[in-house]
Amino acid sequence: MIERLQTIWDVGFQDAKRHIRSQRMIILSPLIVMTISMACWGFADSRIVPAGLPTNTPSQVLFYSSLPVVFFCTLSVVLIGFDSISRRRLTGELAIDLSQPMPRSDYALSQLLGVWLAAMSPTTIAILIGIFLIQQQMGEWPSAADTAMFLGATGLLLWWYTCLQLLASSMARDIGSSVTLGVGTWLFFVFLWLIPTLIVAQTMGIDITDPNSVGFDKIQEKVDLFSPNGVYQLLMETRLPADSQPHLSASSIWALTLVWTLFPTYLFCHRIGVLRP
Amino acid sequence: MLKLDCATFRYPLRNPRRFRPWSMRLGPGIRSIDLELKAGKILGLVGPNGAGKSTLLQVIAGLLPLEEGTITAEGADSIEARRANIGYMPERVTWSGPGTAKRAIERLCAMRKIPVSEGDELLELVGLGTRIEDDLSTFSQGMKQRLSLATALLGDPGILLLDEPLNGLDPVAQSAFRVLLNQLSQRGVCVVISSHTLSDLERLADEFVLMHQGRIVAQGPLTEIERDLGLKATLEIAGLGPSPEKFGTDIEVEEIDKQEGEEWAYRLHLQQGEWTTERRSQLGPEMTFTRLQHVPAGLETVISAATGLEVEDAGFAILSEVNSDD
Repeated sequence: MIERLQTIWDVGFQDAKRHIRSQRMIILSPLIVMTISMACWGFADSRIVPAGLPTNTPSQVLFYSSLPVVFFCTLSVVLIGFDSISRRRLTGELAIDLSQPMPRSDYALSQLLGVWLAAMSPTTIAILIGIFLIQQQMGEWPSAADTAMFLGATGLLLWWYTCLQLLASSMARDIGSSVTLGVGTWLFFVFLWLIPTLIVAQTMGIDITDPNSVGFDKIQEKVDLFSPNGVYQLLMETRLPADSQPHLSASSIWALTLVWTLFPTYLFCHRIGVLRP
Repeated sequence: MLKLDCATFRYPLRNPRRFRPWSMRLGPGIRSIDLELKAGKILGLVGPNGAGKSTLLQVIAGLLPLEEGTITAEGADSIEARRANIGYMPERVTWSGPGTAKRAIERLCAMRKIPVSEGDELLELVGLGTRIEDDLSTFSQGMKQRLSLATALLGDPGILLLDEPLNGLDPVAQSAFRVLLNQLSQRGVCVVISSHTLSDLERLADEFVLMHQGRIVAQGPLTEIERDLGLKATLEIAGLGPSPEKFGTDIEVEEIDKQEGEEWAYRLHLQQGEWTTERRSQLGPEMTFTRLQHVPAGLETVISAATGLEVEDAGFAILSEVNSDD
């Protein structure tokens, strides 16, 4: 078992190095570092934060700083992962990979690890810089639990996107379809998720025009459990003060976190298992 | 070493119906293939485009699942164990950057759990030693083919599956490639090499498997296949000095174009039997030959003989498959 994990790590790490050195990551990495660290810097400065946005504690600053993670870090996963499988399939390299004596499930995990590590590396650096900047601005460090939650939830969010992207990439037959599937999935969860939320709320007779409706908040949280960004936000909210906590119980949020982690991973492993190169 | 019994695989194709848009049907592939791979043999897999050669190689390599039949390999109780003893070189891998040959081979070494130094040695062996740090996008097709060959040789496999490996190689590389394959076969490696032209493999393969429409239509040494199919054995001769006057009654003689420096050239079709060494020597021991070579029957002639189709029909059948492949 240890030997298999070692092989998965070795192959994944080599792929990650290749992704990190790619032109797209050279462009994206500074963007990720800049946006996350600048968000931490900005939200930690009470003079420039818009009125009504509660950023009195480091945990609240970290919560608001998770916004660029949802936009830029997930986009980096999309841009690294969209052709990760389809390009190798088109060039014939996938046939060579799959003819090696490595079990296909292990190969699938190594591919996930490669893309995830490549996206997670600049993100981790950015988060650590951000935490340092929060201390500089507010004079206190975020707690270890808040930091661990920010890093852990971000890592999970990137893992979920990695699974979705590689799944899309393994289904695409050409680069055009890869881009469409990859970017389409990202657009759907980042920008269009509000539409199904509104439809569900409307169907259930909730007034969607009232921004302070508790009923709408509850429905939104429930619908968010079906979106990776939603679960990420709910996880981050669990570290906020009591009046900002989600209505859903922590156990249901963690249960869905587990489902989001295991189910797409299983789907991708299964997909690679039956893939014809 | 490895045995296929009634191996069948067909590609599922989309077959949408009005109320079942997801409906699929079974398309082309390989059917009822019985084949035994023996250590130290070079097997030539020949057939027109779409005959099922690549599919058969992929089935042996464990890339495609069997629909029916079995594959048994000595000492391999799992598909991973079987793959550990197989080196597979797909047709025309267009290695693309960013990345170098060294990185590509290192990655595969990690998958095979073998030292990276072995990969470096193989890159040297295939003549890429000076280009290992160059980006793959700067590689010519021939270099890419050589890189693919190096990846197939990783882990010292007992069975080497090569899909159209001569494509894109220059004559010098082709010659070096043939020498390498002969050396591997002498070391006990079983080599299966596919091509759509018989002449490519004539001097290389010990035995041939002729495929058409997913089935094996003939199998064995080339001369045996030709004899079994009742094809005339053909010899091409050319030389200097006086031209031969008599060839014998059972030989059909056809004059052909002379090459530079030759004073006469003929193609001799034997009505019956084979061009044995003894028979060749009877042509004229005192003559000076510049050319004396066996001419394999064309693919369409062999297919025609094996399937019973007219030569023209066999040719068109091959042509239509080529077009449908495109």
